[in-house]
Amino acid sequence: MAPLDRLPTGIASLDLILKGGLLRGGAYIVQGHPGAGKTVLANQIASHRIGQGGRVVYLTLLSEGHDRMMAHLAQMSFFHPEALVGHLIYISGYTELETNGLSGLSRLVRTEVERHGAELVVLDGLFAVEETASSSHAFRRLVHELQAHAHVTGQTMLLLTNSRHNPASPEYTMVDGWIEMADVRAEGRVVRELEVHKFRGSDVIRGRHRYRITHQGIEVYPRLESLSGLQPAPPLDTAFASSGMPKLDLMLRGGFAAGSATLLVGPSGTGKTVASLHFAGTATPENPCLFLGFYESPERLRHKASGIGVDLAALETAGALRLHWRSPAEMLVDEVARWLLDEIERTGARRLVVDGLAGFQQNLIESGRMGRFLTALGNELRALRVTTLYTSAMTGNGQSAAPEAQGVAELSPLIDSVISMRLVERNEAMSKLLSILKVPDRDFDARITTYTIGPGGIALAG
Amino acid sequence: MAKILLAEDEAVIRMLLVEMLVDDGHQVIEAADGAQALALLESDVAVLISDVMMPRLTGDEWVTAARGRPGMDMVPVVFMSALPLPPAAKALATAVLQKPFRPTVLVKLVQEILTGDTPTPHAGSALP
Repeated sequence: MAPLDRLPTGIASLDLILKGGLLRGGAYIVQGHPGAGKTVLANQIASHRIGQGGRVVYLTLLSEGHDRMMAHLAQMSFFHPEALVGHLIYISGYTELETNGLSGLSRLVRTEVERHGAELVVLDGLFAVEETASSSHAFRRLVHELQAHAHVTGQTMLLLTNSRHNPASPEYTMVDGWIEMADVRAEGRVVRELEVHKFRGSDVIRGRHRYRITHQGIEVYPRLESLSGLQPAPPLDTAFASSGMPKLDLMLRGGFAAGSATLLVGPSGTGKTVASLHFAGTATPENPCLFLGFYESPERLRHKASGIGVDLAALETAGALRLHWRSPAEMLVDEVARWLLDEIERTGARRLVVDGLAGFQQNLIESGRMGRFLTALGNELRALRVTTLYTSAMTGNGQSAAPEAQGVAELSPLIDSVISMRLVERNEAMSKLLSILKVPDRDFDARITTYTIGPGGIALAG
Repeated sequence: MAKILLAEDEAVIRMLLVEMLVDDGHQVIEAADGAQALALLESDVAVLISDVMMPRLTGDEWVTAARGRPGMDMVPVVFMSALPLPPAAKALATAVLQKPFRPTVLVKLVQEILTGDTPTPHAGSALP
C-alpha cells in the first residue's frame, strides 16, 4: 500500500496529531473564533512550506489588512519576510467576491494557484463567502468546487473561518478535514484547545489538545493520555534505586524498584521534600536525577539540602542532578509533561522527583482527569526506565490514623508504592511517623516507625 | 492636478488612497488587480501607483507591460508593499512605500514626482 502523500505543517506536535501532516490535494476547514490563532497557524504552515521550497497563495477576504497581518506576524520567530518574497503571495479576493460573486472567487482561486504554482493555498475569511452567498446551496457548491480543485491539482487548501456549524453540516462533510481552535473556560481561566474533528484518509490523535500562541507561533501539546502506549514496554527490571535513607531501604527490602513510581504523602511539615532530597542526593552522573518542584525554588532546595548534608550544587556541577522549578499557576499540564519527558530523554535521567502532585492536580481543568493523566505519565516514565518519587500534601492535619491525601484514594491503584508520613500528638509533643502502605509484588516492613529530622536529614528509629 | 492610475487589491486601502489623491486635486483611475490596471491604463497617465502582490498580474508584471507601451517607458512608478520588493519590482520603481504608511506620505511623494523633485525619504517609506 503506497503511503499517503503528506504536506507536513512544520509544527512537530501538530504533525504528530495528524500522523505526518496534512494530505496533498486535501481541503481543510480551520474553524475558530476571532483571536483563536487561525491566521497565525496558516502563516506558520505557509512559512514552513516555503522553507521546504514550496509556494503559497494566501487569499484574504474580510480579514485584517495584509500590512497589519504582517506587522503582527513580524513578532513571530517563524516569519522571515525576505524569505517569502517570490514564494508567498498575499492577495485580496474581496473585490472579486463583491464584483463577481462566488463563481468569480472560485475562478480567482484556481487562476492564482495555477499562476504561482502553489502547493498550498489559504483562503482566510470563508465566513465572508457564506455571507455573500445567495443561498446555503451556493456556498456549499463553492466549497465543493474548491475541494475538487484541490484534489485534482494536488494542492492543499486551508479554509479559515469564524463560523461554527452543526458538525453534520454539508460543508464539513464535503471537505477532507475539519480542525477546530477553541477557548475553554474553567474557574476564571481560559485555555486554548485544538481538535481534529475529521481527517479523511488517515487516522489522527483524537481529542482536545491544548495549545499556546507565543512569539514562536503555535505550539500544540497533545493530550498525554492520547500518546500513552506508543512507547514499547521495557523489559522487567529487578534492580533497586536507593531512597537515600538506608533504614527506609531496609524496610522496603532493597529500595524503590527501578522504573517504579512511589507516592510520599503527608501533611505540611512532615518532611516530604526532605525525603525527596535524600532520594535526589543518591543521583550519579551515570544515574542522573531530574527534580521538578512546583513550590520551592532551586535556591531554596539547595539551601534545604545543605542543611541535611546533601550537596545539590555539587551534584548539579557533576551533571548528576537538574533542578527545575515551574510555577503551578495557570500552567498546561500536557506542556509540562511533554517538557518533562523530553528533558528526561535529553539528559538520560533515571530518577525523577515531582515535588507536589498538586501542581498537576490544580491545572487539569477537567475534574477526574488526574487518574488518566498520571497513568499516562507513569507509562511513559516506565518506558524510559525512570524511578519516580511523587510527593503529595494531605488534607486536614494528617493526624488521623488513615490520612486522606489529596486525590490519593483514586491515585493509589495507579502508583506502585505509597509511603505515609504523619504527625501524631504523643506525651504533649508531636511525633513523626512513617509507614509503608503499599509495595507491589513483594514483602515489606509494614510497621509504623517514628522518625526525626535533624542535621543528617530524616533519621528513622530502630 | 494629474491623472494617476492606482492599483491595489485591498479595497479599503484602495478607497482611502484614492480619496486622499482626489482631495489633493488628482484624477484617479483605480484598479483592483494588475490585469484591470493594464486594461484601464491610459496614455496620459502621469504616475503609476501599485501594490506588488495582486491577483491576475502582480505589480511588476503589469507595470512591465505598461512600460512597453508607446510613450510609457519613463512613466514614474510608486510601488507599495508590506514585504520586501522582489528584484523585478525594484528595478522598475521610482519610489517604494513600505506598508503601512500614512496616506499623506503618498500624496506628498506624488507631488514631488510631479514637480520633478527627487523623491526624498519619508517616514514609513524607502527609496530604491
